[in-house]
Amino acid sequence: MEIIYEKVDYFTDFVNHSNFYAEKMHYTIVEEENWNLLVDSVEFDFSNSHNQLILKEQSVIKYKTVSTFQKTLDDYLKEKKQKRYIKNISEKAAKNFLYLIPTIENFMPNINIDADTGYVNITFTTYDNGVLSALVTDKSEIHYSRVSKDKKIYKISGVVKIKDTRDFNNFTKVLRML
Amino acid sequence: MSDILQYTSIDNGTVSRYIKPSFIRNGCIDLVSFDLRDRKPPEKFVSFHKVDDTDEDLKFISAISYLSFTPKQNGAIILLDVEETLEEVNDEEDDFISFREKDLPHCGMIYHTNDLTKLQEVKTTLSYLALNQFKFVKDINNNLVQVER
Repeated sequence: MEIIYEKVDYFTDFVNHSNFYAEKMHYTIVEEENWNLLVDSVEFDFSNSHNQLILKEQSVIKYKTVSTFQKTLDDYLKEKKQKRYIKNISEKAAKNFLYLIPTIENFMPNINIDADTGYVNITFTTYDNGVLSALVTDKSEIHYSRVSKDKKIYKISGVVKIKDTRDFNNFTKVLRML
Repeated sequence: MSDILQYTSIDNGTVSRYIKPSFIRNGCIDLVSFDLRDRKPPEKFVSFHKVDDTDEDLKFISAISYLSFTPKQNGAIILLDVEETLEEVNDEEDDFISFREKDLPHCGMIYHTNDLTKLQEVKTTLSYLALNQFKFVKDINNNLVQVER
């Protein structure tokens, strides 16, 4: 557990002072089983554009989705400078999305911020050229919808409700529709 | 929402919308393409243009000509058949969307629900339908050059 806490401390510092900690490239890659503990320690603050960084070096965290998400956040914050009226990124939704990362990592979704809610929207292409999307909210709910065509267009939609952050991996049951 | 509801509804024909490059990835159109993010709040509709051409290539060319800005080459135009879209999206007792004339060819798509699951389904359906009639701006411009020759 000591090692885990050390990683958590490191990650927290990395979030707050990412430029300073970028030199610690040799640090152990964070494995899936420790991911939830790491995310527990993350506090987002999108009120200051210098504080939104998750990390800069992929070698610290093995999930490529993290750097994709980082770019998504950067792009949205840039857009928000021009369009002040679009919603602020929901810090709670962003954190909930982080919990989901090990589950979606291998599926390479498109990630965006929903401008109407500030929540995280992810989009996947399905094996039958359909679309599966999911909106990760600030209430540990994931609203999903899958639209495709067989004889006619059909839809499967619903909401995943999570009470414990360690249960975010149950989103795999939705991903089985991919 | 009430003021835009006074405008005449559009029940058929074709409407177009520009999709910016960052919203087109991995062969799909991100749902955020249908967010209320283009104009100052309280924005009440997603902007479209009504295109009346019968030829599909001309519809894409007209769609570009209606834009008030120069679209990026790696952006895209989507076309939606209004009748089909309304039929596929409004598949329950209450309507989830409608199209309204603004100042034609400008028109707007209005959401009639705030339910997040319903909105997710609506936007996913729009994203799916948009893939059927979708062209990158560079391809439309290339086509325009050939037409002019």
